Amino acid sequence: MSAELEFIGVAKHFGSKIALDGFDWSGGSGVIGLLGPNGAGKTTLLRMLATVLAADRGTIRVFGLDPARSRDRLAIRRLLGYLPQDTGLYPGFSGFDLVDYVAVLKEITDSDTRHEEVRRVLCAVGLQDDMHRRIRTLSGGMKRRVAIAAALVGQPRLLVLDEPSAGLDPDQRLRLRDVVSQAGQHGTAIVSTHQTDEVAALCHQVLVLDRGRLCFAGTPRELAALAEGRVWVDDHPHPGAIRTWVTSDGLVRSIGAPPTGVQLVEPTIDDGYLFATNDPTTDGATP
Amino acid sequence: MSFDDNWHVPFDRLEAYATGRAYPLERSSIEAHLLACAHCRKSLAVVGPSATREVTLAAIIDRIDRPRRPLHRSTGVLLVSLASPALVGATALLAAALLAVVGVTAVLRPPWSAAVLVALAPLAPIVAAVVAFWPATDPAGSLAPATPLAGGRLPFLRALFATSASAAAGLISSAFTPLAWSDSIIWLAPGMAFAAVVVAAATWIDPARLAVGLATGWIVVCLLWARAARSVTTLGSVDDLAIHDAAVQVMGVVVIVVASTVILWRRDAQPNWRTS
Repeated sequence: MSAELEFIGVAKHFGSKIALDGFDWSGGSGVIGLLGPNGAGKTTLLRMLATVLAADRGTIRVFGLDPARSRDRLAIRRLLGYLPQDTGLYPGFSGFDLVDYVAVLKEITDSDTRHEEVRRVLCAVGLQDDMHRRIRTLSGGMKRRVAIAAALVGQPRLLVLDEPSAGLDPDQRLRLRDVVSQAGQHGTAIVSTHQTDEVAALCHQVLVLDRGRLCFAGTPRELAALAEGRVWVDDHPHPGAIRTWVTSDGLVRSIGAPPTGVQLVEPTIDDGYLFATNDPTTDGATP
Repeated sequence: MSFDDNWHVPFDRLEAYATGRAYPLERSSIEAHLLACAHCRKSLAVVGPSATREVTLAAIIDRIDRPRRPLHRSTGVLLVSLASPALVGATALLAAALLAVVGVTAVLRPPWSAAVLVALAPLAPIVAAVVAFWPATDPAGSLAPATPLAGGRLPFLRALFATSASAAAGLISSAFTPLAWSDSIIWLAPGMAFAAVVVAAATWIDPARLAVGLATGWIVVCLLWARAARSVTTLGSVDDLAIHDAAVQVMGVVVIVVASTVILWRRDAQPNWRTS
């Protein structure tokens, strides 16, 4: 049986800029976290998965369907919920009307069923008291939650979320985790984020992209283990370290090849991520 | 306020309501009671799963709070989705531009009055077709392209709305030119044909680029026609312009029919997918 999501040699260029460069990966089910620095190709990858952007080269399969074929693309969209990075929602609509409109686009034609679904998703993101306010009057975090609600309409089998937690307060982030983990229980949710704690708390799998290439694929625990024996603290920086920073308790924490005599510490997912994206010897998916 | 302080919805009926098993009339009656009775609202809070409770209460609040703005009622959401506020604005501007063109032709001397009408009026339906494909005309912005309906049908229907509305404005205002009625509408068939071609080709070619190419080509052709028809001196006459030829008009209609067939065939294809 083939994987739910499959990428074989996928490449995308925007002029001379390489967004994705021979991306290979297959997997699915549960919550998948997508980490990487700005410009790593995360958004490009998610847009391809959401069928709004075509690959220049390579093959993509979503539940065995090929988004390059018109008929398959339509079938994928019937299984999909997508939250783009920049939503551009019409400010004159209320949150209810906007999500209702997206439900129409998702072919929910019966108005009673649709309204019930709209209320369900708006409640799920905590907007039950503000659903009839115009979008222009909502805060940035509330607008983001309207867009998340729109992505949740119809309980999609594949949920593609591009930086969903941007602009959300800690309370709302916790609520979002709940929503995404529920989506991951009956399908696949792929979430791009800069929050490594979110990945650690939520994701079954994590992919790390850097400069258009996959530099890690595995569980959050495996990502942290990547830096095993390569993280240490000392009272001064070492020139051989890949990355060094001063922690809140005044110690200097470093990643790289540890010098002798320093105190090694347990690596976190942050350390693993920094190691994956900064180690010149890491190239290609591991493990 | 309360209907009767001593009466409350029986627990089993409240449970039926919370789980969606209540009859429609009973449902309305319970909702009316819930609005006035804090005791039953509290009882509802312990009936059924929490998600159901939240949605049920939200439904009641929704009925009370939802603003009744004509364009934003969800009952009219289909109309709004087709003729989105941005598209309505753009279409109105195009119709105004068409009115201005017709107004200009009324004050120009021949043969320029006819030449300006013939050259510029067909551009309005072309631009209207392009506007229908702009992402900004969709209220859901970037959320829309990943949905099933946004593929082809919705922009195609929007293009139909925008081109028809702008063409209708031009058609009505053409009656006020010094030209004969049959002459004043000779721009319509080519204009609608160009618009139909732009829409039909949208799944292969960027509509904006094709529209610029067609509009430029049309203006050049019109200039050539006007040059060849320098003998046109009768007030407002278009007799000597090639567009007046029945064969050109018939060709325009044939193009509309062929392009419409292509649009129907490609109705589920994603416009401009490869270049987005």
